[in-house]
Amino acid sequence: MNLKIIGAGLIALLTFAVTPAYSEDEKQRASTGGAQTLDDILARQKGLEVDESFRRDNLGSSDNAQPASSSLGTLGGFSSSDIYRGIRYAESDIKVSNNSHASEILVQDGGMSWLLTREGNVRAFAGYGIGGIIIALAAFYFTRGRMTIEGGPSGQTIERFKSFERFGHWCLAGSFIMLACTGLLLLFGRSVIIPIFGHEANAAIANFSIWVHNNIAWVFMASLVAIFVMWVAHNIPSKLDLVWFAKGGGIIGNGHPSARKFNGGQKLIFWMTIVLGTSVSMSGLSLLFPFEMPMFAKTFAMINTVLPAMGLPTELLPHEEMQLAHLWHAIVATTMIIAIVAHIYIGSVGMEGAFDAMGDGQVDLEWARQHHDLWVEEEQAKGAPIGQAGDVR
Amino acid sequence: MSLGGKARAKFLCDAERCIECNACVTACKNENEVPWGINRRRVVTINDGKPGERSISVACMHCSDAPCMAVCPVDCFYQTDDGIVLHSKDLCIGCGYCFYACPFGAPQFPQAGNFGSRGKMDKCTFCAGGPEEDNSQAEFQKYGSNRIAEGKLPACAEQCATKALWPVTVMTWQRFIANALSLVASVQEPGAGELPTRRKAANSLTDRRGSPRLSVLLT
Amino acid sequence: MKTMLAAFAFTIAASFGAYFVLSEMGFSSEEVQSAPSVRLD
Repeated sequence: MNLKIIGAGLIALLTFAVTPAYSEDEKQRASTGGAQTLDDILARQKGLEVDESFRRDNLGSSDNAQPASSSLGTLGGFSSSDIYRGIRYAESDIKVSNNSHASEILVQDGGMSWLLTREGNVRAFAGYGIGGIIIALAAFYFTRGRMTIEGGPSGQTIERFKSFERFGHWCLAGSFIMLACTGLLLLFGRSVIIPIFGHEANAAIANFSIWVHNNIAWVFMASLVAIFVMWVAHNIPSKLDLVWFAKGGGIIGNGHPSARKFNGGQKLIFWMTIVLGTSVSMSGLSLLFPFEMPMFAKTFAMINTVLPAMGLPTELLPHEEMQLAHLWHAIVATTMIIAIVAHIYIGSVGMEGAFDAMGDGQVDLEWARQHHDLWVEEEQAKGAPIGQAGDVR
Repeated sequence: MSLGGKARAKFLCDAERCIECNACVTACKNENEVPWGINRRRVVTINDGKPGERSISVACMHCSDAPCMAVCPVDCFYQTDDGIVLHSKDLCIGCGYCFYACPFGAPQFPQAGNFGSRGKMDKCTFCAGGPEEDNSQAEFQKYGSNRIAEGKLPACAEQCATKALWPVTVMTWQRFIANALSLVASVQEPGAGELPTRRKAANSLTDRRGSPRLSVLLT
Repeated sequence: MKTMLAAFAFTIAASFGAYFVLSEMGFSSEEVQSAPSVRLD
């Protein structure tokens, strides 16, 4: 017994005697045999980032395999810890008994941070963002009031949007409203509807919402393409738009800056709708076909070539792709909703004479002269007929 | 009917013993009449064909703080006294969020595409059925068999050829102390339908025949 | 007005259409996870 203790003590002393010139980290790492060090554990407890490469890269190798006849030969060079790390970082050669996507992943830990982000930041952004714009617009309406036609409407009308333009717009608008409402119902159902109306009511609403959301999305995507094709030529930015913005579009003060078919603000909404709508559609398609359309890994790789400092992960688990797609979808959709609420405001109560453009396509001539003077000139040069308000069409 | 509510139910799979026979997968599909395309339990093989090959059978881990339960937009999950995580197919809308949240890939869906719904989510129930009445026809059609209510163990573990897959109950200190106090208060034989969690902690985790004891592990 | 209502009606009809077309296109789990040799109901 004593000999053993003395022997152990001598060995301990010897390890202190032999001190290679490693850094503190490496010394710690060496002392734990390549496993977790005290620093790692403390960092994790404080919630700090831990560089996991010492685990990720330590997966064992068949090169280290002992001969099959030796006692450790059947391990093939992989200890149980190596196997676990291979599973944990999804680096192992996996075969699975079923045939569905993502079954190969034994452990993924993106789920918790995803759901916390959804419940926290995403709900907060949607709630405060959409609530905020509605309150801001209400405040604007009750102080500044409605934009009126100076001198009142003329009673004469000119055609602004043809039937197919209005059809395309309303397909897009109708589907967008349904998508927005159902999406928000799904986001807030558990936190808002269940406490008031209970589980069954929320489930019925959620069932309806998800059916409508996922099926009307196709109409939205098709209409988006149609809108782009119809109006892109009229929405090319020009210097005139800078002048329009400089004058605040006339909403501040009383100017009537010049504009052609679409003014600067409308072009902004057009491009926001196209760009954000395309983005939300891409992530939406990814969600419609789970695990079939991963896009984030490639996107991150592209961003990394432009901004190497970002260091975004270029290898993502299928679950992580879907989680990111969901979060991106929600964030972009919320941004669109905020913008479109303002668009709806100005197109309905916010401005006298604006709704007619999409209502029956005939706008008051005086309204058109005040807001789209150059467009009126172009139309009249082409010989566009002038109608009377109240004409049956 | 339950495991006695004295400890949490978990699955343990010994990767050293698993031989990838897939008896557990087959037993589960058979016992619960699981339809095509839905695989409550799967066997994952690492380094297949090479020395050091390992297999693990995984279904639902019945997490104490289940992420699926936390994320569900219709809050259709619940947890029994035994820690078994179950859900209601009546409330489920088939959105698929529980699969994104689950670390282990337990939720399964009848539809691969999400066109309005992925269908009602189905997953391992620890052979404990669902919210319908125990051992009723409705419960069987929706959730599969309720073996726990009959005092039996999950089918997968019963079938395991090498005793690699164990259904165990895991003790927490709180429950251990509560159990100890109630043991002291009323020492009696376990009644019919009650599984032997009230006996003193066994020294071995298997009984004499090598079958897994519904063991009490001190954690 | 008429155009707007027509557009809404088209939107609703098209979403039903999308649903029926997509459910025929074979994305159920049993179809995705099995092979052509498997006889499904």
